[in-house]
Amino acid sequence: MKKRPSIKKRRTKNDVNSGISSVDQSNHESVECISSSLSMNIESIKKRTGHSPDIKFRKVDIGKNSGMKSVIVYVQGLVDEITVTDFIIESIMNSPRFSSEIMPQEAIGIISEEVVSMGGITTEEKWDSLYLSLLSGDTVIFVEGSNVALIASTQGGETRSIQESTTNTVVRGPKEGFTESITTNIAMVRRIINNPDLWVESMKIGSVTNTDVSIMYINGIAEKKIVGEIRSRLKKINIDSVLESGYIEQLIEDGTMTPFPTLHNTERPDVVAGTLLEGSIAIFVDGTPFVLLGPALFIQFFQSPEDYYNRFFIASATRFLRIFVFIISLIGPALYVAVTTFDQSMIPTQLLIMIAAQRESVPFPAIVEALIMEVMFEILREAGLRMPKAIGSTISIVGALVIGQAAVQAGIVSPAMVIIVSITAIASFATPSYSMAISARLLRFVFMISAATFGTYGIIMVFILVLVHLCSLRSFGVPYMSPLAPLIPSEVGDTVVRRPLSGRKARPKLTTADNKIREGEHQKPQAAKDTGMVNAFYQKRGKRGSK
Amino acid sequence: MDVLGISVLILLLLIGLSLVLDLMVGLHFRTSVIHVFNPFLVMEVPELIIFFFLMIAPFVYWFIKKIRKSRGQG
Amino acid sequence: MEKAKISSYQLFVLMVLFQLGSALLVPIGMEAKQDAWLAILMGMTAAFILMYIYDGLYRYNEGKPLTEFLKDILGNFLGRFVAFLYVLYFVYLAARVLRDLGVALLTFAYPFTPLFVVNGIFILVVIYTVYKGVEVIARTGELLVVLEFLLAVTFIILIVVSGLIQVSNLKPVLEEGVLPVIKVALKETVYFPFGEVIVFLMIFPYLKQPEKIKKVGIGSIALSGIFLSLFMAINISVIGINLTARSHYPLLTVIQSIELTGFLERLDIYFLVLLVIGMFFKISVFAYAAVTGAASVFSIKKPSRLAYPIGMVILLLSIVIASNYSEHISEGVNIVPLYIHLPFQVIMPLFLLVIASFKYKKKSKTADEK
Repeated sequence: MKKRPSIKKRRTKNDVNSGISSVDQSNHESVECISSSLSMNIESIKKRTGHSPDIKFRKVDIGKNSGMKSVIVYVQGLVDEITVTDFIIESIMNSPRFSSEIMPQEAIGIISEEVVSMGGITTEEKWDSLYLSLLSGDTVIFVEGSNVALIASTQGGETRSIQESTTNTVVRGPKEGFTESITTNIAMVRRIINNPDLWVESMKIGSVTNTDVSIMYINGIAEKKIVGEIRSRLKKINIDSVLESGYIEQLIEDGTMTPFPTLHNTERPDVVAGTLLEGSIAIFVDGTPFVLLGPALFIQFFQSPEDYYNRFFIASATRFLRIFVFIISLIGPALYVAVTTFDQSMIPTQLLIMIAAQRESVPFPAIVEALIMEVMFEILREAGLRMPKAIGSTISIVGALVIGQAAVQAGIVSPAMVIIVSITAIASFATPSYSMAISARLLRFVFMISAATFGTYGIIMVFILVLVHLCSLRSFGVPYMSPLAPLIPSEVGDTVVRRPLSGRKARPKLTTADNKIREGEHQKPQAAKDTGMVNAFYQKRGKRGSK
Repeated sequence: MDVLGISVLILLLLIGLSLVLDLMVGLHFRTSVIHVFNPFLVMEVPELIIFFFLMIAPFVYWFIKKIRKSRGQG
Repeated sequence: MEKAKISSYQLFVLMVLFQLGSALLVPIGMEAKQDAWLAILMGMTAAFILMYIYDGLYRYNEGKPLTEFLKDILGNFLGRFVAFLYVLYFVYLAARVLRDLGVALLTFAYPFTPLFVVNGIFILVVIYTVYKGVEVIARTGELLVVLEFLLAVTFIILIVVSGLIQVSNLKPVLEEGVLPVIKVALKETVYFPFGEVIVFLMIFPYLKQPEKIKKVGIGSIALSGIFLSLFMAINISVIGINLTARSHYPLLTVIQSIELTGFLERLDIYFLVLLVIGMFFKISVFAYAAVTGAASVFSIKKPSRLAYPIGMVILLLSIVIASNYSEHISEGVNIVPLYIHLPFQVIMPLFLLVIASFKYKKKSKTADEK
């Protein structure tokens, strides 16, 4: 059971919505305000919702003997039913505050101020916003004779509990991952950054689904222009539905014609907190555990939260390894194809002889061999994702047999090719970000085809092309390849390697506003100057020994 | 279209320049003219396909763009 | 002009990559024999003067590219005409470099691939780059310079470790006195590759700190000069002057002679990567200058529209420029420096500088009188 946003916040939320909900006003006629007759109100709700049985109407007498009637409306499953019965129905029924002299208008005020003991409660006159609240889990209270309704926030019902995130796992670091509920997610980040400057703005997007979308940033750290840019891009969205944050991502990214993701997504609150502290803006979407982070830089997709929890030697080594492995997963099979078809002169003789001997019995050219194996692997991977978990082990056995032993014995592929494909496959899982690994998966085929037609020259040309493309990308105006290109020397320490935390004096220049200082002076750990406490012990012992 | 004109102008002038250079190296005018067109005459089929594709691609692009525009207006 | 800004470091990197581009791979200053490396250094010194001229020229017309300020100095019609000549010059050089690249690839790795296809693939990447603008060229340069630098350093280490260097090959130094070396420097090495930086007059206006142009220019010429000279000295000392002069790609011969521990051998890929990266920047800068220049001469609002057609012109020209490689080389050595480089790199800028200084004096006088 959670306390819901306060009255003030709810109003601003509705203001934001007015622009969006005006779109569907033309669809139906009940734009008017609610009427003062209870039965008419009930009728129009029933009519509008098609007599759906999960919308519950509870007729309640106000007070013991005031004679006034009210109706409480809520959607079953969306509300926390205990709250509705305990704090609304019971308190209205049993309240001693009501007598027959009280007018319906006053009753509304009394109920909201004195009777219902709950966090968020507001008044509403318009049907449109009333439906929005009702269908997002609020409870609506009508009073006979009053054309104003009360809305109590009672959102609740069944949601998934907080569990360990499945897509970004770490050995060291917090284990909790986001859930499908936007309020829980926002609260999880607030629990990490306890600061009033952590600001949240919310809006509803999707003319049919009316999905809650919130942006979160740290005031003073996030660049105002980027916040404004993201806000205006979100406001510009006019779409019927938002079913996952991927919808938002595809509608607000800088350009669609690129295989690379220009928004980061994560399931981990500590990653969100870490990037917020570097000036990024997080976009939460109700109904998905994946939170978007922008502006995203190329190098961010290779950063794992663990890099910052481990000591810098280990972190730097693993970071370097990840980038190396990414390049392998891009051009591994392509290099094999190029070297065996065109540039035999480029590998040492003994290795060449070995590969040639293996390939002797293979009836296909190298590119066909590589394509067969790569496509086979992609099929296995896709099938492994989609099928029921119970038969998961079957496919791994079949896959291992087909890809490995049998294919070689049948003479379809050479053992070297199997090694290459397995290395590439493992390499593509070493990239921390799934969205970046996918784009490498796609580009791998481009590299392979270019290698088959032009050899190493083709690989180099495609590599330059990809590099030029990467350099031309921007994420919310921030160059995608920064801080490497354009080079920002003070920030290179957190790219291919990660420098010690004691050297990280400032936040990234391009994405942060005024608050740039990360740590004070003299943060470098130092050995104790006076080693007396230990040496005294040894000296004593030494003396005793000499005696 | 203006763009096309400029490119053709540059191309022709520079082919002229390379002819002049050929003459300065000491070739006959006739041979140097033949040299200009020779590379295209000895092209093989895949080369020719790529050649025509590269030459025609911008026109196709321009044409599609024009059709889209007129559709968007209509 | 597009709205773009590049930093002085980016410009520096771009200029270094541009000058190293093709000069690293082909023999230059071979008439000076074993003193070729000295000829390169002298050419570099002479290029400092050229850089002063270009910088002075730019000072009078800050914030404008070459093709724009020609109109100011020479008047609208004549200025446009000369600017167009410069555009032709850039396109021609780009085509020459592209031909160099294509031929190099065909001779050492892909004898069965047609020249047109190899060049075509390359120019498509260049067109894409030019289309994306100067900022992207500069950023790509920043990334690839790291690769180029790593390759160069490991190359030098490998050469030294494998014990191939024979310093006696470099002796005697200045066998016939200093005069022939100076002659080679003035006849050849100053124009190629150093003098070609005149193309950067089209890129200077994008610099964030215009006061640093002279520093960046001189620095880049010095660095690339020292690098080229070092590589030439290594070439000569490893394979001797005779082979260096006869070989089309002495660096390739040197790289192929590296053999370490039975495994580190056949490092042709080094040469391939150096070749492609260097040529890529050289052609991209020329093509970019040609595209923006043509756009300014013919008053076309979106220069990127010209990227594809001018790229195709470069491609076609690189095919028809010479019927065979020896013709191409003999034109490059005997005619191009004297009749094409000299007027465009030295005479015309000097002439412009004189006119500009007169005009500028007049202007400042009238301003004083007022």
